[in-house]
Amino acid sequence: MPSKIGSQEMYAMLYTGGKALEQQVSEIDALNVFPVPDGDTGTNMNLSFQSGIQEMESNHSETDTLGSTMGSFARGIMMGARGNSGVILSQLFRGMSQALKGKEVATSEDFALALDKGVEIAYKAVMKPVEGTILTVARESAKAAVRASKRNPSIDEVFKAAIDQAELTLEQTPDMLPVLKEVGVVDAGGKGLIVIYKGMYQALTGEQLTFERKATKQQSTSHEVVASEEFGYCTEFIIQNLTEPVNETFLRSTLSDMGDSLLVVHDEDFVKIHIHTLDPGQVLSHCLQIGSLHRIKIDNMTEQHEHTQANKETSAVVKQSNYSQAHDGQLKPYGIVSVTNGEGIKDIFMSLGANEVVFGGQSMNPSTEDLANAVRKINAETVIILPNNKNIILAAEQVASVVEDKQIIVIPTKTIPEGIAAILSFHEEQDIEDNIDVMKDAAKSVVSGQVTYAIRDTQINGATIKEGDILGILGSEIVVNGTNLVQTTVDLLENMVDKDEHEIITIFTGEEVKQPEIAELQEIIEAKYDDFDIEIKSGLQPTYYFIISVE
Amino acid sequence: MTINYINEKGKIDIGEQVVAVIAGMAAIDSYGIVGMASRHQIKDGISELLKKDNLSKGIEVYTKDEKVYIDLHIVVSYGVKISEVAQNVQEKVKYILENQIGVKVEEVNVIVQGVKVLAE
Repeated sequence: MPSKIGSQEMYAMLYTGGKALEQQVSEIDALNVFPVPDGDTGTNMNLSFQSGIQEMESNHSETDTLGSTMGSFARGIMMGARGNSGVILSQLFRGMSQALKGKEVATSEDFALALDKGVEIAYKAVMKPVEGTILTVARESAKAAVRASKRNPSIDEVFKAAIDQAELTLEQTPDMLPVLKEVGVVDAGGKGLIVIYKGMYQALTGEQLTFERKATKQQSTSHEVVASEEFGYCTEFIIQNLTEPVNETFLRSTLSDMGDSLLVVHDEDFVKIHIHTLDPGQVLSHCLQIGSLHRIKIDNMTEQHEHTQANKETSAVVKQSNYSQAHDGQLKPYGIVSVTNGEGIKDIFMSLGANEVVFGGQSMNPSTEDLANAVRKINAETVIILPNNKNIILAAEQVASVVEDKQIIVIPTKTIPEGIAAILSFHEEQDIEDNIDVMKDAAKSVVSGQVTYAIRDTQINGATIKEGDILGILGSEIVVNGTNLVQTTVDLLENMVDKDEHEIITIFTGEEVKQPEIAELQEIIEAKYDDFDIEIKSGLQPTYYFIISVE
Repeated sequence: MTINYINEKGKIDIGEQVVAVIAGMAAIDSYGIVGMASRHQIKDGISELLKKDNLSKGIEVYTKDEKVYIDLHIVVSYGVKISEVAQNVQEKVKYILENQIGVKVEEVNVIVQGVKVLAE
């Protein structure tokens, strides 16, 4: 553990912070309701941050000091700032860089003061700061860092104090900014900042894979890959010596057909590309027509995935316990426990305000004790349980007899979509009776569908079903079956949607579905239900290829 | 000039001044803006920051063929990416107006009239 941060540490910290942000883009986008609810906060922050990394990388030399590394990064992020959140982020780092100017290394106190200077500069560039945003999170976090540095602990402790406070403040953002509360989310920009800080912290404490700087065989930090895709290759490179002006939109749309997690950072004389693709050759060939390729890095993500899977379990546990600790301090009126069956769905519930999630689902129903343990972790007078499966409702209802110091309310949600509808309609400021009513109503108003496969030959409603057939389930009835996943899903939707009644279709993709199938399904339903809002989210649930909600 | 709606219950007129005030409030909420500048000072080449109660002096609202056009004269903070800040203001103003008073805004034109360098 370094007692001081120098150029090299900062370089690794910013790089890893950027990687962490890149992996969370869609989660952050999903939270974005302020200042304009256009769902691009994560994307904008990522593009801005990458532009800082770019500038830092291209100016890197052996004689760098902490001040010059930070200066390059700040210059890059200021020039490449995108959107409201990106501009704010650029000012935070600009302030930090001013505070570290001319320094070879930073002590814990220097680091805390740099965070504080970042906040000062960021606040100067706005006439009427809105509280409950990234600005608030950054400010409280910097204060905590300054307090901690006065007690003179190590840099990592100071940074940890800053991150812990940032997380607490983020939780409070809905109480400061009404629009967040209405929608039931925390501030997207604040969340993005925490993701960056956490990535930086990991690099500082070496909790993540080591990051080698500028080696030709660069070991990138681990990409935790979305498991719903075939993993393919994480491909990154820079196009220089451009033969003609680049049409960014056109390039983006061409490349987005070749893979996902696409990032195109375009500067006057170069373009930086990052994409997860099954065919890196195709991407490289296409880009060769635009200019020459440099710093090409292709990682096989399947290998990395196997590596990270092993670590995932423990990190989830840590995350959970941090989360609970953060909540121990204050007794809240309400807490929510939700049962879920996929990492992606878990994140969705967490972002909508669930305090604890318990993994369960068709083949591994949680016991009353599992649910009770989750309830005990929440410091609240009343805890609402969303079982999201009819086989778990009973176990959930038993929790009341096990946990005596809290009021337990079970909203009998039978599916994930019902659970999501229920949690969306929950309002902390209403009394419990009203909440129970609106949550139950919301759950009833959703049409839930699931697509899975048959585990044995059987006869249902006169239809012959063979093992491995695809089944479309409406509510709890099998209504369609077939051998083609996409076609069966489309048939199921036929049974679910009433064009006069409904307007939103949400699809949670399972961990076994491949990207091309998702793309094909999306194309068909977008054409067929063209006046619907269609959202496709990565649910990562096992067993169910798709979980569908129509409302 | 006012903006009017006619429905079965009667007529609603919204004065341009109302649109201007709301646009001004939305604008100063935007990050990167340190104030509005009076639109009458362009020829003098000075940009005095307007006080909060006369923000609308920095804003022109005009309607043409049933469509609403807005010009905003802003002063930004030194060191922010001005093009991006201006675009954020456009989005914010358009969003707030369309949401709060149902005015369809055809164009939001941003005139960056000054940049304020703060002591660092």
